Amino acid sequence: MTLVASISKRILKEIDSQAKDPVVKDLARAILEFEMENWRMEKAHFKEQFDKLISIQSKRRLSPSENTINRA
Amino acid sequence: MKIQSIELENYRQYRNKVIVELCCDPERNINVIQGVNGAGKTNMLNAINWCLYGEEEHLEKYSGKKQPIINDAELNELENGQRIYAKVRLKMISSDGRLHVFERQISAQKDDQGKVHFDQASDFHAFMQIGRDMHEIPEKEFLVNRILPHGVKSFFFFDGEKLDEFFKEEKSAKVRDAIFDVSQLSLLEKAIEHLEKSISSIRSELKGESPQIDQISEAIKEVEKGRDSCREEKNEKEDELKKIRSELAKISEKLKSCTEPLAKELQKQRDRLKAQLERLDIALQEAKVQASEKVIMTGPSIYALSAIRDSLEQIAQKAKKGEIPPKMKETFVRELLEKGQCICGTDISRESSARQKVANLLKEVRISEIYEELTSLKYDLNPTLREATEFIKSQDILRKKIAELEQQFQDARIELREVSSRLEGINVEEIANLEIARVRLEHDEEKLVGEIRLLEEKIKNARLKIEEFQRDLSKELEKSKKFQITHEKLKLANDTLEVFSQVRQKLIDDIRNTIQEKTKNYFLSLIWKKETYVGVKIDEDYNISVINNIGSECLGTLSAGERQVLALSFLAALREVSGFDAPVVIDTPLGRISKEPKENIAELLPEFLKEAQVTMFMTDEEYTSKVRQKLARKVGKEYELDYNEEKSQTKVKPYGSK
Repeated sequence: MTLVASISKRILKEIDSQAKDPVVKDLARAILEFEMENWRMEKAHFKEQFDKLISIQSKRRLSPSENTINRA
Repeated sequence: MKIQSIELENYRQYRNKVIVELCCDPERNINVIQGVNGAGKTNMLNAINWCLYGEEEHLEKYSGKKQPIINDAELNELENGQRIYAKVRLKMISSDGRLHVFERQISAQKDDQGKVHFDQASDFHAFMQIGRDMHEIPEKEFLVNRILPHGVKSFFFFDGEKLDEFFKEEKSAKVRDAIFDVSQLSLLEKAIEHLEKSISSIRSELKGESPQIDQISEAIKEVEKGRDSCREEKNEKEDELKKIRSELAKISEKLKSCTEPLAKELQKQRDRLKAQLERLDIALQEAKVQASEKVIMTGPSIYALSAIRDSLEQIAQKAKKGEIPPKMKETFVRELLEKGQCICGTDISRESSARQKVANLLKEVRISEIYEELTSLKYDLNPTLREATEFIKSQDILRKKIAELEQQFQDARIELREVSSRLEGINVEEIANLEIARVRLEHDEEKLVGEIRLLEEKIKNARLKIEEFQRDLSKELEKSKKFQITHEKLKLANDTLEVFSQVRQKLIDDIRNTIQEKTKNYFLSLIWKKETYVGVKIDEDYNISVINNIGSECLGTLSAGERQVLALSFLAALREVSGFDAPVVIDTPLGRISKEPKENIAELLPEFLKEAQVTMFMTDEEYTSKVRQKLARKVGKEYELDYNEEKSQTKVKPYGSK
């Protein structure tokens, strides 16, 4: 089940309008989804997760052919 | 999302199984459950909260202490070795017609010695309709969060009587937290904080690759360290400020409620002076902004003012001397010299005194030839001169206004100090001590506010510095293919961080303005003193203020009922802005409102919350025949709670049935 649905529509709408690059848009949504999942949790291992998300999405930028398959 | 039914089984005074079916028809979006105090209204609100979130936040309203969730009578009748449970089941319908069921239960067992042992944790299940069947959803908390996140629930399920307290103390912090929670800005802030740390960690991958890169990375690290310690310090100071403000509010309340009439009176006087100081401060800031904006707009003309005057003076002198407008054209004089004949017929083809005279005319003519340019310059300079002169006049007026406001501000401060001295001098030890403590706390408050502002400035400067270094680092990384991947990761993370920061700022401004407008509209429609109040403002520091018809801030003078209406308006605005399609459940919505306004609010409230299903728990004093009449058009279901003290049991029956 996706948690994007529980993130305020207003934030998602603003991200869509501010992020011109689809890779940035996907990374922003994935990060928010992670934060939503771990909201108010004492220890969220954000570093590993963020690094993973950033690595996946930056590869999409370096090889545009991966654009369609490597969405986080 | 609407609540189709609430099922309670052995939950507090709801013994055995009680089912309350609610109306989900959007045309009749109001459900009313009426009952006297103690009949179980608040516990039904608690049941909804407990079922969805495992919390009962309105528990201590009447009892003041925590009672077991399981029905008292059932517990008393429990035999040794027997187990019993309390259960709440909520059936909800989403906007696409899909049924959701949430159920939570907790059990207890009586041991052989007759001692009751309660389960430590409750058992929670969620089911969702997929196709025709109901499926259990393992991610039940996520499902609840999707409908209404935990941080937002108190703006949907709330106690009307407590609304009065909402704007009593720590107003700006409450408004800020509410706006941040409801719009999930806190989530965005957390994402920014974590992403910044990740960027720092990616940057550390570059260590030892080149002296330049190391140098820039080190510089960034140093600035980040400073920024983080500023943030930490700021958080600590903000917590300290919250405590101080809460202490101040308590002292204020104590002084207002003390029996000494002079202390009471002085405290009221202080509230009035404080409101006046706030108003004067706003007016002063506005006048200063207005003055500096004018300086920015008219600045260039002001700097050039003496040059403009000088130029216009010179043009006027030339006209006076007859140098302008031109008597003849330069080309005409040249033609005469070329032809060698003057218009009077004199031969000037050779060097002669006559030719010299004509040649001398050229010098005068040249000055006249710039006449057209001088004329257009004159036309261009005049409006600028007017603008600059008017600016001086308007600045004079503004300066006087600022001076007057500053004087009034100082006078009010002196008066406030006098009030404080008089309070300290009252011959009642407790009052004098409270006042001494208050003065010390106010001093600490002022100091903390200044320190927080300074830290905010430092954090902002650090951000700009990091951005500058980041650009330098990017240039270095572009030189080598070796860093391509790390460079790309950094770029992407920084781009995302930039988007988050932009979104955050835009949302903060938009949401605050929208909530301010909506709160104002709701408040002015609901409030019965239509002539007295003209506006509601939420400033950049989240201070909420109500403006009266003479332009003064008057939040401190609102009655309990009026404060409740303000809070109700604010919550309705928050709910609308949040975008969550969740039901609204209000306990005693009209509890503090007097008779006539009650009917007015009853009529308007369903309109404000028309998009939502609203369930209201009301006492018989709230749900009067007139209120009932006003709501009738919108009410889908009406119930009455019938509490039997002997049996410690509440029954729910249709309204008006015997």
